[in-house]
Amino acid sequence: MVAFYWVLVMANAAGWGTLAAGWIAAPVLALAGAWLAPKSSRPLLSVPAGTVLGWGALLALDARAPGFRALLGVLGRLLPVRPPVVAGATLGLALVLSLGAALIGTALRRR
Amino acid sequence: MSRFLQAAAGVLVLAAGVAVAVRPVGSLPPLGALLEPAGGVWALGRAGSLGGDRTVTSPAFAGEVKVVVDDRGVPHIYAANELDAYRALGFAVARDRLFQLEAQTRAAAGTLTELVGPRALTSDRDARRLGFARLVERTMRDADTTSPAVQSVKAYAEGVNAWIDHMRPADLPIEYRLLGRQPARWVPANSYLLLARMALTLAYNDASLVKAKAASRVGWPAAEALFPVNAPIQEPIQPNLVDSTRFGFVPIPPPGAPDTSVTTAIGALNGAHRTLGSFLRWTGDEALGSNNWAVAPARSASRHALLAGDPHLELTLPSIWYQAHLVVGDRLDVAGVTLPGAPWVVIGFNRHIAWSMTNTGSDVNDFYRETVDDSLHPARYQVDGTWKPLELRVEAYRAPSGLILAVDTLRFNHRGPLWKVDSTWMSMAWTLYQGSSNGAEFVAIDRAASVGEFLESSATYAVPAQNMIVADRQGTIAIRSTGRYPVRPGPGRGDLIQDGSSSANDWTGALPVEFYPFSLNPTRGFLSSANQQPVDPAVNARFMGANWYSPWRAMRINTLLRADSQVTVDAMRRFQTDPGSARADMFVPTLLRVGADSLRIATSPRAKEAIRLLAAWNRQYDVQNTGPVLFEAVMTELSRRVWDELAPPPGPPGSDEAVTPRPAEAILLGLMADSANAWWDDRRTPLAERRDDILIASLAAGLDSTVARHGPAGSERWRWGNAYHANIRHLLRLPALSALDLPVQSGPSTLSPSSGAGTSGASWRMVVELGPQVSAWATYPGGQSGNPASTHYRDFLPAWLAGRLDSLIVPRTAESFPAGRIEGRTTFRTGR
Repeated sequence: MVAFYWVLVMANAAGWGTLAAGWIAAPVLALAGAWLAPKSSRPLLSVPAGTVLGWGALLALDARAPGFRALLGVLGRLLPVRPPVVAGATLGLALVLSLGAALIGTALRRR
Repeated sequence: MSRFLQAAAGVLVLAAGVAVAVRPVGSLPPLGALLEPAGGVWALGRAGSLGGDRTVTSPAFAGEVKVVVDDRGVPHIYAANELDAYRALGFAVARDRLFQLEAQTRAAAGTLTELVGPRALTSDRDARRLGFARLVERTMRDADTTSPAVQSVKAYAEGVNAWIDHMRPADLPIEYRLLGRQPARWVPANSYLLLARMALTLAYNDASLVKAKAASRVGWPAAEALFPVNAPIQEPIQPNLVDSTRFGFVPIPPPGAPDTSVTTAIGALNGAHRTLGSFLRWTGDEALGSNNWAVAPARSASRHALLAGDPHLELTLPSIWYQAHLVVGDRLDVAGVTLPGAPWVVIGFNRHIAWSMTNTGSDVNDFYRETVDDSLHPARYQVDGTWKPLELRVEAYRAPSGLILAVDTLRFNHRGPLWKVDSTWMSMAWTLYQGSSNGAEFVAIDRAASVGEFLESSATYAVPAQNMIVADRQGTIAIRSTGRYPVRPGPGRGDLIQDGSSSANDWTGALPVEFYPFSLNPTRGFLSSANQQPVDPAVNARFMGANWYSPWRAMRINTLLRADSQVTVDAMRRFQTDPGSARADMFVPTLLRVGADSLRIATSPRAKEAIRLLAAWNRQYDVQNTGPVLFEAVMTELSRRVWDELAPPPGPPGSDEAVTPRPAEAILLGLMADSANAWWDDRRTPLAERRDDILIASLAAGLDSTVARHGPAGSERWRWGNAYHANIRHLLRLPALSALDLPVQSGPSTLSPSSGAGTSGASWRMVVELGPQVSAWATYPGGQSGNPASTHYRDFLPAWLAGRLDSLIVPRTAESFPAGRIEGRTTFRTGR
């Protein structure tokens, strides 16, 4: 349950932080989140999951815009990969950034 | 896992993530800023929306301005004063086309490298050698800053910058994201750079160089006949007394001995092509042209004057045009298209008049061989035995980082820029260099209340010369080929390279407006233009240019208008995409006649089959038709065989020497009547061919190449819509943002012309009825927004492809706007 709450905390932090400061918020907040996480929250799982969830929520908000479908197609042709892969790459970037930061954060806090 | 190992693993994973977030990956920009879901590229889906009511407070505005965006994405601007209207227009254009604004003006200024890096260095060098930045510096220096035109340009700039200040990170156009750049602030001079760029597209003419190149291969007498001053088919803009096409073919002298004295000219042409690069207007692609026509009330079904216009330019996404409607009390109420980057409606209508333009294509630039003091690094040039200093400009090309990529020293004399061609220095005089317009004519045209006021307002217009057609609610129609035409010494011809060491060869002035080609309310009841020679030389032989477009489109327009004494708005619309071809009407009967007359046809079953197929063709270029594919292949083969003497000596593909001067097809049509002319001989064969031999060979080869490319005769791939496509490319040539392989009802020399790569064509189509209330219908290939995620990125395209026009709404007030057609409303207020 604590891990679940921590996922929600991190999702909120990642969402608002990214809105305020851009992508750099994801690893910074993940580092802080892993450092501060309750021991029972399994931060190596909950911090990356929360970050991905936060970015996923922002993506879901983007998806409500009328031009999202067209945008997805354009990005798919630009890169060029299948449109879902672009969305996957976005969440993958959040995962890599937050996982790396969480690994560091949890390693440091055991002291 | 030990803490150390875990931390090390974390560092590695994080470093990998940060690396792709901050460093370009292949051709992709850093993925962090690109993909993050708050302000990254995903936000463009939201930026594409124009819906809802908003208020913008900006110190740029003097008072309140209401902007209603209609369901086509077109802003209708209601302001209390003109400058606020231009500010709001600048704001709206920047919101929709910010990257286009910057890219276009940087291309003209030669500073694209600062946006896209070294890949644009060649293009920038081309632009700077033309001296546009120098020209605009002078324009701004000499400008009367209190004039309405300069004030409008400044207000527009304030509007553009107000958007840049107002925009959120989410609004950053996708192109900037892909390039990893931020938009530069807009300066008023940019509007004039844009006009200079348009002048190059429409008013550059290298007829003299092309003719000299032909002379170097077949001698001057043949070159003069192949690239004549006067078109052999006359369907002039200024109507003749006898309202019909006049054919004035003259015998073509046989190919003569190459004239070796014009090697400088060959080099000059090559040099010009190198220097102007992709900017060159003349590519032989007649899809770069335009149509316009007007019908007097006596010939219209509604008894109101009608006007149609469709300028043909390079097709791009976003479009070269931006549609807008500006209202300022009872002083200004104009709608139509603006050039993104300039604040005036260039083609459109107001409550009293409608107007459109086609390019005149007159010869307004001449080349001079210069005598200089040093062949490598000249500082002076000689005129009448006196040495005069050259103006030297040191131009640095910078990368986005500010790093200097290259430095050039450019030279100018009193005529224009100097280019070194082999060992010779050439200069180019151009009417553009004598001072470009500051936009005053457009400011006045937008307010004109009658044909008379329009003609008066446009009288001082200079570059590029345009066939301006206008109609008003009183039923008056008029056309005038308006622009600055140089007056040359001696015979007055501009299609020959001049000696620059004598001032006697300099232009002596400009043609007065009363001598411009002109017609007002002709008895035939209609006027038209399609880039043909404006005046029949039998009426007035004054030199205005050379190597004119063949008048196929003009012939077709006039055929349609002569045949219809009850013209309707819908007929005007249909004419704009009419699939008929005067060119096919002229050539096909000759090809068929040869087939019927010649005994030799029996020896060529393939030619016989080609003739059978062409005979069954109705000479229309609709998408289902299978005839145009074969006809175009036969014409290609025919041209190649007839003009083989003009072909360059073997050289590396793509080299400058590979450029073949190609006479207009009207010349080829004239040659058809001279069956024994030496030009019919194919020099690559030992036989002495005559016309019928070449026609039969071309028919057979045309069929062969069509079958090889499109399959057996009559197969699905022969359909014009499958074989030929329009291609509307994005400004950065990104296929993902382009609209490619579009089937179109258009072909070479049809009224909706399209040829070659299909990248040029009708860039705006408009029909206006000047009744008690002015009504207008229009579309263009693209959409109002430059954001590919917007529904308005290419929403006009289906109508454009189908030849439909949208009914334009132009409410007089924001309050009277029909609610069902409102997409969004923005109110601008002054303040911080």
